[in-house]
This record gives sequence, structure tokens and C-alpha cells, in this order.
Amino acid sequence: MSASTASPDQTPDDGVVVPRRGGTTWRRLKRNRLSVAGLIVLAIVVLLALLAPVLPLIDPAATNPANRLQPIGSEGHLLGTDHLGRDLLSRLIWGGRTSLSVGVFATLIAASIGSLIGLIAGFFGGATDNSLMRGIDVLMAFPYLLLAIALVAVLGPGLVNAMIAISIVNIPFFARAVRGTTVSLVASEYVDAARALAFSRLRILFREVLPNVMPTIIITMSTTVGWMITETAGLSFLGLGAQPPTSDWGAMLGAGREFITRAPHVMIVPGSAIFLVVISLNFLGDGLRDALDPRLK
Amino acid sequence: MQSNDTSTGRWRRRRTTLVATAVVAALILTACAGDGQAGSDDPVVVGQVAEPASLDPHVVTAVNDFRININLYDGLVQYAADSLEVEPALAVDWTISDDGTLYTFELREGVEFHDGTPFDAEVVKFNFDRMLDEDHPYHDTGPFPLAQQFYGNLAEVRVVDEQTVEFELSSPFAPFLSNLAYPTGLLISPAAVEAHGEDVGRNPVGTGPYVFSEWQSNEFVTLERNPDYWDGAPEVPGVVFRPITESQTRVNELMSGGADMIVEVPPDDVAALRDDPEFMVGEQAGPHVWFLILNLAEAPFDDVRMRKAVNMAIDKESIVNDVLQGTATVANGPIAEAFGAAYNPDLEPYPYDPDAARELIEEAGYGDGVEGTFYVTEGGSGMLDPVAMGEAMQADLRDVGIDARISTFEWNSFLNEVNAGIEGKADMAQMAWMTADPDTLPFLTLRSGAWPDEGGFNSGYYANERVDELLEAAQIEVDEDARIAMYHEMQEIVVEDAPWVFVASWKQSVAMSPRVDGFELHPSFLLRLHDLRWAD
Repeated sequence: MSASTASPDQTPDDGVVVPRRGGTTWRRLKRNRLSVAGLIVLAIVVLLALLAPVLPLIDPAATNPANRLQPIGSEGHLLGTDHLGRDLLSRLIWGGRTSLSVGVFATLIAASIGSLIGLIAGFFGGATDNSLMRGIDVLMAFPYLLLAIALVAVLGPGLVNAMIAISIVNIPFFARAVRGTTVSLVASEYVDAARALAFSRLRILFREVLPNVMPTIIITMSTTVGWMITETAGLSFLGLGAQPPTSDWGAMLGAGREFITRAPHVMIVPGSAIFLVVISLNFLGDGLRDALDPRLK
Repeated sequence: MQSNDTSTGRWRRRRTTLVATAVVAALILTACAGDGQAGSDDPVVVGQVAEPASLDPHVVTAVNDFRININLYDGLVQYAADSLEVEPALAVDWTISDDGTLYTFELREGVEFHDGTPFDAEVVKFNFDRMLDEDHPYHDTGPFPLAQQFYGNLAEVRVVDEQTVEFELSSPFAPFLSNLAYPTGLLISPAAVEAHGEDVGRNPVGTGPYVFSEWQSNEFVTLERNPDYWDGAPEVPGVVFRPITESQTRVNELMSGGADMIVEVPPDDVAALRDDPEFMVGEQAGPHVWFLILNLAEAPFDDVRMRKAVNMAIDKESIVNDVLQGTATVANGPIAEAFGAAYNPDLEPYPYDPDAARELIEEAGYGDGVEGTFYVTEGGSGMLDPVAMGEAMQADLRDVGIDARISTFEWNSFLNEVNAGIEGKADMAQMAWMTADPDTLPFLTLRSGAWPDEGGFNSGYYANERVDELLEAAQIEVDEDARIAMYHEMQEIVVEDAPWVFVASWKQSVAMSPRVDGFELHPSFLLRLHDLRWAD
């Protein structure tokens, strides 16, 4: 069951192991109050974002410049209005759909590609390992935001391109973490046993090693989603992400910075949303790491 | 797993540390700038929008750089105090031959450059030959991007005697005199060019009211009073120009005392500072037109009804009054009101009338809705608040059934895309021009001879024979009244053809501490600081 430490009495049959671990993980996660709080906040945010089309919200793109920069709590606009008189609550919820889905998709893309690279590098070792990981090092040598901006410059601005750029710059996190875990697993007894049974290398990699690397991937994902959301917001803040009138938290934040002294709520509203989601994700990620870490069991 | 975790962790942490360091550094800088009240022996600190590219008047193209140069140098002629009319500066008088090709200038006597070089006819010849004559020994100290456009017709500069100089044009060119008043016509000391070559842009020497003292990159440019200035020495001991790119930071600097005067104040702050007795705000409409280029080469804007429809669908009043908080006025056509006589005051701006717009769209056969691409820039010289304005327009157009999909670009890539022509790429593009002569903008953007493949800026492919004729005739017309009549007719035709959506003319703004006195904004968007003084 354990990922990297020796537990010779365990069978490599993960079909049995996973449900058991699932139960333990949940119990251990529940013990961490911050993680539970994070989970609840996230659940609410995700629910609101999913329900945006059915909620009684004002059209997020409907402008009314004469009614601009209304403060929080003004009539008809619970969170006030932005510089074009658009309803901030509506933009926040619709924007959450954009920001969250971009964050999640970018994480999935980065996790798939990065983990694959890490698995292959760690499992095959030698020249494969060296060439793959040096490539990853090159990617990592660039300041992440600069690289993302360069990629967007090549691909053209837009939410999808921003998402691709963010995915690419985050590949190294997954590749390095997964490779490290894979290297230690490859030397373990059950992998030796699988080899002795003459399983194909692909089968060993995906059926024996991958399930045991999953905790690493999940933990990295949970801590990365938050970064992805801030990074996409960063690109949108710089005008490289979502194209108007699509609302997205980063673009809302960027538009609000001009009014920071006169109407700070235009910036505070999306800023708090990003803060809340990212901090919740981090709490959840911390909890998950503790819950999944075999040495703490 | 543990070791990998820490390596990622460290990387993450470094990002946070960097941000924290930057914030702390910014706080310290602000704190330093904020302390100490300026006294009457102190220079006036001006918050500029950017670091100057150079201080060589013939090389620079940005208003930001002109604002410094106009205080360092003089030209033969200059704009009058409150208009774009031309008045004497280093030339005390001039005559123009009847055919409009020979200009004779009588030069001011006893003027010296800051380095002691006497100002005479040879200096004038040196300056224009340097820009225009490829064989001139200092022509390689350029490039001089505006020289051909402004003075390309100049065939020869002749020194008649020490105080007289003749300009011979290859053909009459009506904007010539006002182009001489433009900051590209400022005169630099030949000795300084000879001594510094290309680096003269960092070691500028002029005849102006202030003398260059120091330039610390990204920190400041300082100028000191010229005690021997021919038009009277300035009262303040000097001027400091600080580049403060972020507009909100400029406002904060003014409020904290780090700057005594700031330019290009954000609209919402203009609105708030107007009512604040602690500060003074100056506003002045300028020779600026903000418009949307429509793509006449392709549907739907090959149809004049659609072009008129968008002109009526966009609520320009709301854009200038609400989005821009009254820091712009509605434009009625391609020539800004600040140009005075050349502006046609009889033209009414297209009214905001979505119903009429819908009818026109129906007539044109797009009643079921139409889609298009709308190029928007994130910001740029004279573009005001392009994203917010673009979004407001997008919403107005959506109301009449036009789905304008916005693509945003950073300013320089935006210019590359738009100046090359928008055919096949976009249906509408934002643009704004600030010019010194009413001729420049229409000549470069509305003639059929100015299509992008001809090297002009007519990126929407407008063509009207009568407009071509009028613009070409106006440029060589020496009689001012006849020239003005041509511009008026041109404006009527262009407004009727509606190749653009005419949106706004910008009111430039400065905000100042009330301790600064004697400053007036000028329609040229320049910043003449000669009469500046500290209030008691």
C-alpha cells in the first residue's frame, strides 16, 4: 500500500488497496479543520459557478455607463457596479465559471503531460531520463510568467491560448515530482516481482507504478490549481487572457486597478474571490498531502 | 516524494518573496519621494507618462519627449500662447513668395545656445540639412522619422547672410509653416551634434528657457533655468521630469507631494480632483480625433447604410461623459475642433439613435444580426481608455444586432496589425491621431493614395475621388480662406460617407499643486513651462 517505503507484506494488487486507502484518506482529511473549511468554500464557489445560468442574475455584459462605480450594497446591485455600470455580482459568478474552468483544465493538461514525462523519465532512466529532464530544466529556467507571456504572444491573446500557455509552464512541476516518486518506486519489490512475472514494461508502468504515483499527482494538482487560477488571472490582468466582454476574475481585477482610490470595491471583489479560492485550495491541498502521506499513517 | 516537494515548495516561495520585495521597494521609494515640502528655491517636479526615448528634437516622435524638448529648445516659429496659429520665435519675421515655394526668414539677433554657440543662418541650414540631406556629415546621427513627412518638400536651405535664411520648396506645401512650429522643427546646437554624434540625444543643447542638467535613466531628467533666455529668464530655478508610467501612481505622487504637476490624469481622478481645493486641474481640448476605422473592403461595412448605422448605434455622449468622465468631447468628423478655422462647425455629430440604426441595418439586409471582429488596443498614445470604450461600444452594437467580437492587442502589435490594413482580419479597429496641422490626419488616412500598400494609413480602404482632389489641392493652396473652404467640403463628404465612426476628441489634463502658478495648457498637448512660478 505504501508508496515509497518498504512494506513487504503488501501485495501489489492495487484493486484492493485503493478503496481501503480512500476510506482512510477521507477520515484523515476530516480531522483537518482548515481543509474541511477549504472544501466547503470550494464546494459553494463551484456550485454557484455551475448554477450561474439558472440564478436570477443580471446579464454580466449589460453596460450602463451612467450608473458606473456604484458601491457595494447599492440598489439592484448587491456588490455594486464596475466602470461601465455592469453588475459586479453577476460578473463575479460568471467570471468564476471562466476562471475555475480554466484553472482546472490547465491543471489537467499540465498534470497529464507532466506526469507522463515524469513517469517515462523515472521508469526508463538513463538517456531517456536525462534528455527529458534536461528539457524540463530548460522550461523551468525561464521565469514562469515571462514564458507564459511569450507563449501568448506567439499564440495570440485569448482565454484558450492563455490556458495552453499556463499549462505548458506548469508541466515541470508535475514532471519533476512524478519522476522523483517513480524513481523510488522502480526499485521496490513489487516492481521487481512484476518484472519476474514477465509483465510488459508498459503494463508495469501503467498498472503497477502509476497507481502508486497518483497521490503525488493529486497533491501536486491540488496545490497547483490555485496557482493556475492566479496565473490565468495574471495573464488576463495584463490583457492577454479573456477577451471582452467575457468576465474573468483576472480581467476584472485588471480593469479595477484604475479606480483603486475612487472605487476600491471594483478591485476588492474579484481580488477577494481569487484570494478565497486560492487559499481554500491550499488548505485542501495541505490536508490532502497529510492524509495521503504514508509516513503519517 | 519529500525531496521533490521541497524543491517545488522553494520555487513557489521564491515567487512570493519576489513580490514581497517589490512591494517593500515600492513603499520605500514612495516614502522617499513623499517627504519634504518644496520651497521657492526648489525645481518644479513634473510627473510624466514615460521615460523619454531621446532628447534630440529631430529624432523623437512622442508627445512625452516633446514636452521636455519644448522647454530646452526653440524653433524658428512657435504656436501662439492659446492656439495653433504660428508666431515668431527664433525668426522675428518672414515672407512667403506668391507661388508659395520660397520662405525667407529674418533671424533673431544676439541669441546663443546653452553651450555658447551663436545662433545664425548657418545653424538653421545645419539643422535641416542634417535631417534631409543624405550626404550631410551628421545625417547618420538619426534616424529622423518625421523629417520627410513634415519637410520633404524642402529642396534647399540657403544662407543669405548671417541673419537671413531662405527655404526653397520643390512644390507649394501649405502646412509647411505650422510644421516648422512642430517640435520636430526645434533647433539644436551644431557644436553639440559634432561633439556627441548620436549621443546628442542624451546631451541636448538648445536655446530654450531651460538648460539641460542631468538625465538619470528611469529616474528623472533635470533642467535648470537659462538666465540669458531671449524671452526673459524663467522664475523657477529648474524643472524635474519624472517618468511615472502607471497613471494611478502619478496621482498618488501628486497627492503625496512627490510631484508638483502631473500630466494625463486618469478620467475619474480628473473628476475628483476638480472638486478638491487642495489641487488645481487644467483641461484643454486638443487637436485629437478618436475614431473607429471601418473595413470598407468587405461586408458588412462596404454598405454605407451599415456604416451610418454603427455611427448612430454607439452612444458617444455616454462614452465621453460617463466612461471618460468628461475628459473628451464628441467629435463631429475627421478634423478636431481645436484646429479652429479648418474645423467645420456646421456639421452635427451622428445622433445616438438605435432605432434608426436598426432600420438602416434592416434595409441593408442584416436584420437577422451580423458578426464582426473588433480590434481593440490595451492602451497607447492618445487612445484614452480603449478597452472600456471598446466594451461600451460592443454593448451598444449588441443592442442593434451587431455582434462585435473583441480582439485585444498590445499597442505596438496593434499598430502593426492595423497599419498594414485590416482586410481579411477585422471589420472595425480603434485608432486615434494627434496632429499639428488639420491637413495631416485626412491626408494620411482618407486619401485613396494612402491605402496601406501605398505606405499610408488608410487602413479601412476608403476612396472618394472628390476627397482625394480636395486634400491634394488643399496641401498646395496658399490662400488660407480657399484652403479652409476645401477642408470644410472634405469634412462634409467624409461625414456623409462615414468611413469611420467619429467618436471623440480628447481634452488633455494636468493636475497641479496650487503652489504652482503661471501655467497654461496649450492645444498642442505640449507643456511650455517658461512662465512657471511658485505661488506665494
